[in-house]
Amino acid sequence: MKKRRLNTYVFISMFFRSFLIQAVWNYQSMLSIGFCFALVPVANRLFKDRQKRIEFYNRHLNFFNAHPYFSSFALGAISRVEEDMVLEKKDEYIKVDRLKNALMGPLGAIGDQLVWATLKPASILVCLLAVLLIDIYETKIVFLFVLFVLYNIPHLYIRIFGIVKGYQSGYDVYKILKIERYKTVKNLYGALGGLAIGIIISYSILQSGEADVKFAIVFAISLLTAYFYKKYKQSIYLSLAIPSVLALFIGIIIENL
Amino acid sequence: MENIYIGLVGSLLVLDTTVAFQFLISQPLIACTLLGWFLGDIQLGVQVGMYLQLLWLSSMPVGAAIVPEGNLAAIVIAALVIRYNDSFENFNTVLICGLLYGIIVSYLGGELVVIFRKANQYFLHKVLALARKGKLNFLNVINYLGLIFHYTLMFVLIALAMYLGDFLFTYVLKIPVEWDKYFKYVVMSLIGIGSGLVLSLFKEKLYQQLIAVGLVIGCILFVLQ
Repeated sequence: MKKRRLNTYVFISMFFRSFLIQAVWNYQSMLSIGFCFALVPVANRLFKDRQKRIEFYNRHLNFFNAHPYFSSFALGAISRVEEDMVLEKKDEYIKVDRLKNALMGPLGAIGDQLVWATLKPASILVCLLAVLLIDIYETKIVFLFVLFVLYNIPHLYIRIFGIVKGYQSGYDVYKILKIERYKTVKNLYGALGGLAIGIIISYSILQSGEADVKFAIVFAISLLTAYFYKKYKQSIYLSLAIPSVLALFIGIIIENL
Repeated sequence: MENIYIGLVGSLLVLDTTVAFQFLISQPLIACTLLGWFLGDIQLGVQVGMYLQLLWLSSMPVGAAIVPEGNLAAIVIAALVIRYNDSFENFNTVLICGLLYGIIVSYLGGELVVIFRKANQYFLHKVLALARKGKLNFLNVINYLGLIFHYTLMFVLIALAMYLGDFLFTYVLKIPVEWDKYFKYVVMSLIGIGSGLVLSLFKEKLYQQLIAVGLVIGCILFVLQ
């Protein structure tokens, strides 16, 4: 068993570089420049020969796309495969391309479902609920830090765990890329988000109704208009503008009755 | 000159949306608070962030999807509200006019992201050509250049939106203070509009049941208060 070449310094450097993985996102190769940028410490460590490094760069500047956080799994796995090739003196780099192509779908799908559709809205909704319920302004600020922590603990965990597990797994990384593995955290955050939005709606309706029943009615009409317009038309701009203008017209009519 | 500073700070926060880090500091709740602190009215910053937070939350930056730059718009709206809110006498008018203006800014921000992504193809061709020639250090340079390029585009948009906003708000301030009562209806509905949009994210039956539980808890909390 040959001594492994990649060390902790390489992985720490890769971790920090992964925060800029979308800096040059483009329609042609999507994440590729950022992905290759994050792999630079690996190339520097594995290849002393300049020509080999040029080949490495050209390999990884090809098309690649994934969820930005979950791309850390690909970074870890590709590092392992590249290192194995060097240690075993093989150059079957076609396998590297195949691995990258195979990872794109799962990394994107899990990331979008888990992060964009669950962790992010749930963290924000919980924090917003606290800001709505609490009157003391200093405590509201504290809850902004809570939002930051609530979201970034899983965020940073995915980035770190992805690099570590990806590297440990190599070609077998696909075995750990299943949404079921994240079911607990997805359900926990989803439940928190669902509860929070429910509380926000009923509490806000009652609060506006306490000020004036007319406000509660406008609140409910706006909610339903936005919900159904978004559901059937998908346009975010009109889903925002139409209920706003509608609420204004209702206000003008009620005040002039 | 303050518009330039708002542009400098705002575009730094906007980088967090997709291009770098993604720690959520670009979300209206946090970004408007930080901007409020920067402009000397942190309490108003929190309040504006609270109203705007849910409005763009349902747009997910999945793959190549072009989503409105709601975070950027929230920064412009917060800056305008902090500047033109006159002792809360016209708060509702200023917030809603700012919001309607912000919807346009968010659209322009989304279009600017398309331009940014298309322009990045030039960087891709450049880096490929340089890599073939063996000039490998350029990869680092180009990645940082992409970051600076995005920052500059967003800075220009925020600064221009602020200058144009100043011009438009000379007319908004002419709206009689008595009309503020009409705009109050829209302000009262903002959380409702945002909630309606966010509800579309909770499609699973389990979450929908929990929303129902949340509705009941909200009523209990209100009664207890």
